[in-house]
Parts: sequence; C-alpha cells; structure tokens
Amino acid sequence: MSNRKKRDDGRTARAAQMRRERERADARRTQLTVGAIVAAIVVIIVAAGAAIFASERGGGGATPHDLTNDFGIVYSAQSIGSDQAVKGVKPVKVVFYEDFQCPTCRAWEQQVGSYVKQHVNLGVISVEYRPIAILDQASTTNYSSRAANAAFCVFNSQGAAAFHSFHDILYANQPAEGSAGLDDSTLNQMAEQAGADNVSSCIDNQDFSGTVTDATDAASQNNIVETPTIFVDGKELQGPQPNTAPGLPELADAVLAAGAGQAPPSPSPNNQQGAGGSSASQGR
Amino acid sequence: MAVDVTWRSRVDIAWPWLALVARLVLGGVWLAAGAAKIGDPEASVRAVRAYQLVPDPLERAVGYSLPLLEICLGVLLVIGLAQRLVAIASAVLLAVFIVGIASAWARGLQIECGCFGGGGASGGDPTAGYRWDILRDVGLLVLAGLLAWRPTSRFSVDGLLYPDPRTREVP
Repeated sequence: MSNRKKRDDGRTARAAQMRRERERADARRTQLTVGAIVAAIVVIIVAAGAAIFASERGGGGATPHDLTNDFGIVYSAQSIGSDQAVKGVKPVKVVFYEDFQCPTCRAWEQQVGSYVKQHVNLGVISVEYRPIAILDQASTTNYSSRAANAAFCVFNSQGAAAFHSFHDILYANQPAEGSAGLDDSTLNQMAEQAGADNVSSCIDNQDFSGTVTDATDAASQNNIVETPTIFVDGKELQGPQPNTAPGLPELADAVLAAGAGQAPPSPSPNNQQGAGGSSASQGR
Repeated sequence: MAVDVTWRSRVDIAWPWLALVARLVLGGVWLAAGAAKIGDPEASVRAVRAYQLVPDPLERAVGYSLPLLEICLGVLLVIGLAQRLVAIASAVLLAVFIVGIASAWARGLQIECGCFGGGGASGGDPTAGYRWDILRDVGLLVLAGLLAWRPTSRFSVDGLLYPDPRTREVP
C-alpha cells in the first residue's frame, strides 16, 4: 500500500516536472520568437532611417563669394560703396543672426532699420548679417531655408547693397507662421525689385541650400538657439527685461559704448558726422 | 451572476481594453515625434545641442538616433510586441526628456523642446512651453508605467504569442 502510494507520488512528481520543463521550453521558444521579431523590426526601421538620412541634402556645395567665415554678409560703408563714410572712424561691428520667417526679427528690423542704414552709410557701424534657417517647421514649404537661399543668391549676384534691399523686402512681406510661405516666383520678383534680375534659377534650384545648412549648423555650434541674436562689438545684446528681445535703445546704447572706446572723435553720431566730414577732406 | 461582478473584476475585464488605448496613445505619440524629426535630422541635432546637456561629440549621434528610437518604440507599442520591455524603455526615455526640459527651464535657457521636430529654437518667453511639455510627458509617463505594470492588452502580438487565459476569457 505504502509502496504503491510512493510509486504513484513519484510518477506524479515526474509528470509535474516534465510539464514544468515543457512549459519552460515553450516560454524560452516564445521569448526567442519575440526577440527575433523585435530585432527584425528594429533592423528594418534603422535601415529605412539610414536610407532617408542618406538621401537628405547635406551642407557644402557652392558658396556665395565674399561670404565671411561665419556665413555672414557684411553690410558696411565699404561694402556698399557709401560716399558719406566718415574717415578715420572704425565702424562698430554688429552681428545679426536672422531667420526671415521670424516675427521678432521683423519687429527688430522695423525698429532699427533706418538707424542701421544711416549709421552704416556713415561708417559708424558695420552689420554682418548671418541668415540661418531654424524655423522651417513654421511653414509648410521650408520658407526659412528658401528665403535664406534667395538672400544668398541676391548677395552672390549683386553684392551687399542689393542683399540689404532684398532683406528689407523680405521682412516687409514676411508670411505668417504656419502658412505656406511665399513661393519661389514671388521670391524672384522680390529679388528683381532689389536689383537682382538674374537669380531665378538660383532661387528655383536652391543653389545655396548647402550654405544655408552649414550656416544654420555653425550658428547652432555657437549656441545660437534663437533669432534674433545680436552681438555688438562681440557682446550679446540683451533685451530691456529677461525674456524680451532687444530694441533700438539697447542697440544705440551698445554702439555708443563700444564706439567710445575706439573712435577718436566724439562718440555721438551727429558730432561724428561733422567732425568726420572735415577730417575726410583733410585726408585727401 | 451580476452580483458576482465586483469592482475588481470589472477592472480586470476592462484592463486589456484600457491597456490597448494606452498602447495606441503612447505609440502614436512616439510615431508622430519620430516622423516629425526624421525628415530633418540636422534640426534634431540642433535641438539636442540647444539643451547643452550632451557632450559635443555625441550630439550628432543622439540627434540622429532619437527619431529612430522613437519610431521603433512607436511601432512595437502599436503592434503590441514585447510590451513590458517597450513600456519600460518608453518610461525611461520620457523621464530623460522630463529631466532635460526641467533642467533647461531651471537654467533659464530659452529653447523649445524640439519634441516634435524643430531645432530647439525659440521665439519669446518659453515658460509656458516648458510647463506644457512637462505636463504632457508626465501624462505619457503614467501611461507607460501602467503598461509596464500590467502589459496584458487586447489585439497585441504578445497576446498571440503568449496565450493568456485571462484575455481569452474576456468576451
């Protein structure tokens, strides 16, 4: 009796163990299956992603001539051939990172536009415009990149003065964020208005898209994370309060402060004009 | 019969369906975020750089792999494969994002999260953006936590591979 019970118990235990082993083997198989499917899915996604990345246009390609090493366009009395330039005054360097889709850049331009034009003409300041494209998401057609490319086209073909007119026209006609932006033929009409009537293929083919990519990348590496970002004499211009954009008062103050350290005549622009006028004639 | 249906068993019955919804929401968000980034990986690199948390040599690698990782998680969640593992990975990634955004906020950086593409560049005051981004990510983290806790859900590949009596009994 006890022997038989023992035998039965042994049989049950063996059966239970076999069942457990079978279940463990099943679980292992299922785990392997899951692992294999996951691996396959990951491989497919990574391969597809790599193909997408490879097909994307990168930087490089043609570069507009006379661009600075930082992908900037120098707008100065010298580069536009101003005849009002004050001799003996070293212009204060202003650097302006801009995105033609950026409303704050537009507001900045509206405030400082005439001040900049006047002081560049006099040679009191020089502005290095660094167009970048960080707001492609704000239009359905990558307007940021296309507008920056068009600006490089105009500069490459007609120089700094035409670039600056085009730049003004771009801001005056800035499309709303979230819209389709302006199409290439509109950009071309605006370029013609700015004096560049030979850039339609440059705009259509985005000849300088590589430059735009490189410029944007370079700005990012310099920790430029927003537009407008403005430097006067190497110092970043801050707004009147935290989280506000700087305006004309901040720019004018910073230019005066920087100019006081280097310009021999009085730093006031009006005095400089008078004093510079006479020194210019003496120089000749 | 109806008397026997306690609150707990109601949750048991409803859970696989709730988990399905959680899976689809979380997976959908991953897919949307990955798809928005994959078309412009350079913007993704810029967004990573804008946080100033990743060492320079790794920025590019992180910027390029993030959209791929997000799409992988999204696909696995939507089809319901290796759900617990994927839920845990999602929770970890979301926690990293939350820490990143909170740290950008705390350091006074003026950036956009770049969560759904974009290069991390911001216009004006970013505070409202940070708050909303963190709230959204915390919500998603809760979903990921629930899925990691009880991954059993309807219409999942896991359900086909691991026949679970509980899901089979559900009408």
